[in-house]
Amino acid sequence: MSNNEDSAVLAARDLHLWYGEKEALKGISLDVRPHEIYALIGPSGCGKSTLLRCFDRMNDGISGCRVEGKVTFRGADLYAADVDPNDVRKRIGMIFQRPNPFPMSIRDNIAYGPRIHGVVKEGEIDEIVERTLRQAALWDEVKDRLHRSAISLSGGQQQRLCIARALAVDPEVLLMDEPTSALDPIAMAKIEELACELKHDYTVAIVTHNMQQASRISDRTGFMLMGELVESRDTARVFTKPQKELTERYITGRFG
Amino acid sequence: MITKTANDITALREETADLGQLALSMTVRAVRSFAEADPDLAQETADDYRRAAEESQQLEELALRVMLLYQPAAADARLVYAALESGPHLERIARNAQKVAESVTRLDGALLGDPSVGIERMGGTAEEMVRIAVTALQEQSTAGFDRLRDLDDILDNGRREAERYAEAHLHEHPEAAEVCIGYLEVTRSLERIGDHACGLAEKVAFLVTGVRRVIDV
Repeated sequence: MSNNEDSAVLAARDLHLWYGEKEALKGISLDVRPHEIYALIGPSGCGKSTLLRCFDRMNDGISGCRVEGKVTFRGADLYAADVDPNDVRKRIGMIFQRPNPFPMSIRDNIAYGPRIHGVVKEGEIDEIVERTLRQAALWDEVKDRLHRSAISLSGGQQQRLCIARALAVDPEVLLMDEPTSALDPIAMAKIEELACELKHDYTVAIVTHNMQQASRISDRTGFMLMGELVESRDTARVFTKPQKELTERYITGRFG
Repeated sequence: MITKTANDITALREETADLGQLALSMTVRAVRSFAEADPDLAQETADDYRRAAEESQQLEELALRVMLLYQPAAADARLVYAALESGPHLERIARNAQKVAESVTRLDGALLGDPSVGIERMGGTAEEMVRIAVTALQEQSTAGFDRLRDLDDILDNGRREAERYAEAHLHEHPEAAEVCIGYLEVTRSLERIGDHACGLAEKVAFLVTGVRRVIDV
């Protein structure tokens, strides 16, 4: 194990992934460091979301999906035979492109995860609900209607609720797969602000097609193309003077 | 990249290069008009400043438009920065070339002992510095930048020597005050041209490498 891998929260080493015959990830090696926002950018179909999903083993359920190489979480092999994917997903939360609140109350959405993981006292649930809604910058907006349906919230509020729901099981990492692509600019700004706040307590990896979003909020950025990680560097450097011509062409819109 | 964006970025690159070429041309002609005491060339050079000022303003407007409309990144962002920062340096080079040319007209062939050899060396040095910086801008390279500091020292020393010479000369020839001032204006303008060439080179260095570099300390 390299020193980088040792200090990384998440690490991939020579990671290959196939969907049947199609090789979607071709020897990816990267580190996601503690308390950083790591952005993955690249054209559609380049493997960004596939890579993100490797970090919480969400590709496991896909028929014909095969993974080779190594993925570690705090140095431990995420794909070891004795690792329970559900435990992985408790420690590594995922936020999806479209907000997906459960069709239940705001409070129950938050309580869902902790209850599954054995929290039964309502007082404890109340504490988790308030804490996570505050962390997700949603408490002030919903504190008087916690028993209303989550579906009644706006898109941006629903996405922050999903973040609060992910935080409710005390993860260490938040994976965000295009979390603002379905939101208006105001809601997007709130999620970006939230991500920047959350990185103080968590580690965040985000997939985005929004180049300005990556440059605004991330500490480091990886550019992927056709299943390969072309470049992974400090965000300021990537958006000022990328090392690779392919990266330069992509972020200046000259690709293809 | 959509055609409209690509066209504006191409125009920005070309307009920056064109203004660089004009500033270089004015420097070359100003220096030559002094060396050859050519009032016609001096007048033609001085008249070109208005065009340089207008092009500088147009360049700034275009750079701002590209920045505000397209949110450029990487090479395009560096180009916008370089255009915004280079324009004033190029305009100042042109302005100082105009001042040299105007001094040639005012001096009207008058000679001040023999300081002209030193001034001609300063002129050649200023011209070389502008050529290095402008060529680098046009070719997006940093070739020759290592020499700029030494060349700048030549201009600084040349100006100090000219001041000493003029001071001594004035003691002996108080009637030559106007000519002395004219010569000193030329040396000051040449020194400023060198300073702005260094400033321009610093912006070009960022354009090329993405890293800020200090040349004129």
